[in-house]
Amino acid sequence: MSTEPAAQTTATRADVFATTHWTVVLTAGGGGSQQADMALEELCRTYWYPLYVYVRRQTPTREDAEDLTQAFFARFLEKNYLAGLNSERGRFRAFLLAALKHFLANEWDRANRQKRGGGVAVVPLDWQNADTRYQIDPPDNLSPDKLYDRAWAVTVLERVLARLRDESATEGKADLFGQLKPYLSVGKSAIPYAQAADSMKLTEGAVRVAVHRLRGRYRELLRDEVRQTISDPAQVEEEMRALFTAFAD
Amino acid sequence: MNQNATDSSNPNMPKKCPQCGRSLPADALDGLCPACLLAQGVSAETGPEGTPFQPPTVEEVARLFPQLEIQAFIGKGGMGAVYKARQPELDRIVALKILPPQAASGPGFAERFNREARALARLSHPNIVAVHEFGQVNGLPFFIMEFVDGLNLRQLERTRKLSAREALQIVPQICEALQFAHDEGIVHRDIKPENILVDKKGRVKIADFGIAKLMGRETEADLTETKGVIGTPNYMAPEQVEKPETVDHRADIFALGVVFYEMLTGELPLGKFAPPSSGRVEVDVRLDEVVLRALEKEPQRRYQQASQVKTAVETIASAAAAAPPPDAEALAQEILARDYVLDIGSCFNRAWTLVSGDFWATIGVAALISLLCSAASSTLIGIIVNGPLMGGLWLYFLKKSRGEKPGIETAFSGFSIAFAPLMLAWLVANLLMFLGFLCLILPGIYLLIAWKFTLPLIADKRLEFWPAMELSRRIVTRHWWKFLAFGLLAFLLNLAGFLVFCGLGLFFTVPISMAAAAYAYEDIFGVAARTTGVGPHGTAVLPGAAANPSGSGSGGWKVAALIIVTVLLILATSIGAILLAIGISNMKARDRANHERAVAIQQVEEARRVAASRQLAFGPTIEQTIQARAAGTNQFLDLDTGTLLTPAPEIASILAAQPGEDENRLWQALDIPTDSSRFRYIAWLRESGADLMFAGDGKIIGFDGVFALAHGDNSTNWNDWDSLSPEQTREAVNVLDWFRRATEARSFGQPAPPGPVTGGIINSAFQLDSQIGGGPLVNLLTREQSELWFFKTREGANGVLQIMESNAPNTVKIRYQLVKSDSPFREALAARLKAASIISGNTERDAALARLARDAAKAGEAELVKATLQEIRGTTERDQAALDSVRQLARLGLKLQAVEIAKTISSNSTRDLALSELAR
Repeated sequence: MSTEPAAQTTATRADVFATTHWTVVLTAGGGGSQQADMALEELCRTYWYPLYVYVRRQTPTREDAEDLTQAFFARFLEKNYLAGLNSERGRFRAFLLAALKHFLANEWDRANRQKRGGGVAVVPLDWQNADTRYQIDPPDNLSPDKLYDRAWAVTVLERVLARLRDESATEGKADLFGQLKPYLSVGKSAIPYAQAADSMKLTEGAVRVAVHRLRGRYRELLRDEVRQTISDPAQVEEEMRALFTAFAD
Repeated sequence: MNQNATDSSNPNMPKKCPQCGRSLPADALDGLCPACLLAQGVSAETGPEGTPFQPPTVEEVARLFPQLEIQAFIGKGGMGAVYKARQPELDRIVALKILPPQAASGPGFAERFNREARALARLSHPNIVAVHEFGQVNGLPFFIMEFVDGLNLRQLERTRKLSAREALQIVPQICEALQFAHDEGIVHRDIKPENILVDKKGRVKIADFGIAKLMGRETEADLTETKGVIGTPNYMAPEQVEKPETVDHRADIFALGVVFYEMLTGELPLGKFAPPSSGRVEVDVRLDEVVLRALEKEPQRRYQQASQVKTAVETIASAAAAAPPPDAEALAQEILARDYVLDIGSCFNRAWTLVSGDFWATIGVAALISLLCSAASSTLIGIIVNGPLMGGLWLYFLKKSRGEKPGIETAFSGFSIAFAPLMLAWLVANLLMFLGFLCLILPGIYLLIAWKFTLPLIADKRLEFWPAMELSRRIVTRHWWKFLAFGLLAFLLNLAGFLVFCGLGLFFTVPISMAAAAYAYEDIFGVAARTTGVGPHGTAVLPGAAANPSGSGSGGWKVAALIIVTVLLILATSIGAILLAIGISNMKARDRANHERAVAIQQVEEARRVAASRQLAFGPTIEQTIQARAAGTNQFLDLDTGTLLTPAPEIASILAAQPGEDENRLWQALDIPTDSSRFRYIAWLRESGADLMFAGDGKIIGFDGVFALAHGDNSTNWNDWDSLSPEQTREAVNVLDWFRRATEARSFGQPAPPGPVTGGIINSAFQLDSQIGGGPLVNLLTREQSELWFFKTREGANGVLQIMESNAPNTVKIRYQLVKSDSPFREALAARLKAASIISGNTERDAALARLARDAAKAGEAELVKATLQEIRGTTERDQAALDSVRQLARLGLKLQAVEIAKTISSNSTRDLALSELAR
């Protein structure tokens, strides 16, 4: 009880200075504040799939992969990995992968295998979909690291799109979003405004404006998402480029 | 280890992104490609100068602004798109600027927009782009502004490097605009070359005042937000980046400093930058101060007012830029105001020194260019290259005169420096000079020299071709006598050079003339620069040898020029007059000759016409059979009429032979005395006009006429009836006529009259004259002697007859043809002759015949005249009648015939008189 007000105070202080989840985690220093825990949990909840992909790549069977991933998360949230991995502290993505590698290398042997269905599901993971996705995903002769990065990038983008969709829905422009969504990945000069205007029964000017706004918002959200996983805001560009290079062959 | 996703159990083939070709992740991102999404997320949508949005098309804008006529899309400005439009109600051209829609987002935009726009509308200054209207349409904020027909500074800098001089003209205008705005409390915040417009008249206008604030572009962060990638050339003052809330008008001054620096050096003052003057020679070091102070990082250390910058700049500009601006007008005013001195002697002296000092180089270069020019002149290439070639040669000599050491490439630099103006100037100047030559009067001479300095003005001072021509003309006009003298001297010099060594002297005199002209140019156009020490383009002018200003010399030159011109004029006019006189006299002589020839031709024509009027032709061929007495009736033939005549019985009885008389005595019977009763036969003969009688036994008797045969030489064919011509007949008869008279004259003991020369042999018929006076002449014609006989009847008819073969012994068949000519009088005259010839009394007869002869002559009947004259017995009367007839015939132009008749005159003196008269 006595810790709660302290925690709250800490939390309040953390609110003022920390803007990203990861920053929260880092500033908490692994002290186990409620805020930090929640932040970490949030992060893990978001980015478990790339981990799974990495693990799945290493293990022959799906069951093993699931077990491993689950074990890792449990351990990760349990233990304080932050102290040990200094160099990757800036970026959560790298940190997570490093932790996973560390885990796989050192602790698997001693890990308690979680029986299926009997494990403590600290983080609810959608194993079924994960494996399906993994199966369908194209078999690249990529390193696991790259696979991981790519999966990470996709996850980030998923979240961004989801937020965009939500925002559009609240503005009452869900349909518009659905129609304009494809133009997010297209170069601005390649956008067929006239055709779009025709099909959407809008003026070309309106389409241009809407597309512009959406793309701008997308970019903002993308940056925001990326920023959640890094500690230094100036490194957003670097992180984004790193994600982009994951797709470079 | 990898599950192969492409095995048959997998229903979905991996899709590929249509844009980048990468495989798409399954069941993710709604089918969008993560790489592309990231690419779009990472990249900045805007470039350094781009707008953050795609500007609408002209049609879209037109729809949005129905009150305007949208004419064209001008470009993407710093913050928005600009279109050229027209306001129909006001009939003016405006610029419509549309801002990106995201600018309209954010809280309180509308209020801010209005506030700012109203402030901007207060900015009414010649160097500030005026704002007419503002508002929002369809979420797009817009301004309607003054339209500036020109380029912005960025475009200007791209098209050509701006000179320091031009920069010094632009910056003060910017300062004025800034000062005005600052006084109104408005800071631009976004001064950069794209916002500085220069119109076609060289006026500077600042655009987009205060829009930065309006758009919320006040901080660096804002910029990055929308622009994305950092790396744009930045005109922002440091405090604008770091502490945007502390920004005031001094930020504009910093931006001005950056712009100024960029104008002078072409680069941005980034990091540790060099002062502007270190890069280019023409930049005054004093400008360094100004630029560097404007670029102070601390606002307190900068100029505090834009007007201070302006003052500083203008001070430097006025001191340094006494170097004549590239404005021909200003240059001309300057030079004309100072007046100039043209000392011809000094120019040529210096030219001599220059050329002889650097002999081979000058000669060589001048020769080369001159030869190229003349070679090119023969083809159309000359039109293109001669201007630049000559311009380069001018520049070469100018530089030499200034003491510089130009290389041969200077002589060819006309092509690179100002190709088009030089070419044009050359063409136009030559055209005008050619016109001047055609005139060769005072205005023409003036035109010859007026353009003298066009080429060097273009090559040296880089003027445009027409301003250079105008300037040259105006300068020359000032003292054009002197220039005329100069030109004449140069011309004489070159003429001398041409005459010396068959043109080789030109290689020497042309460079001297060029050098002298260069010195003259320097004296005139270099004076303005020399007084201040800074030459064109800010180059230092090395002092050349000063011209000796001798004002007294000018008067002498004027007189000399006047004299030379007068002499030339007089020479020209006198030569012209002489030529004219010669021409006229030639023409006169030619005319006279023509006239005489025409008269002669006319006379010949007349004679020919007259002769032609007497065109000879044969009459019809008449065939007759004449019966002899032995056949019963004695028949006579009248050749003139072609009728057979039979005498009356009592006359026929006379002709009948008396008992004991020979029939052949017929022709002996002609000796019948006139008082004999038998004389009636002779009288009948003459009255009836009978010419021929057949006496039988092949004997044809011809009475009184002349019957002869003539054989021509081989060339004639007088023996062939078919080929005989009337002219030949008449000619033969003339000969016969003469022959008879000659015979007659001889018989009287007189010398034969001069006769026609003929190539033929004349044989007359055997003739017998009556012993008794008054008796007929009898000719005997027989076939054995000749078939053809030429004859001339008593009445003067010429003809030829042919005796045909005949079976019967008592008849003879002949055919004959008379030479006929149209003459109405002939018959009458012939009749008169007939009548006159039987007048018994000699005196009366001679008188009548003489009268007849004269009448016949008047009628032009030369034949009848001759016949008549023959009948005249009295010599004196005959001669007199002949003389008169000759005169008459001569008057008619029948000289030939007149000569013939004159020749028949027996009296020597009369004959000589007649012939001499005819000879005239």
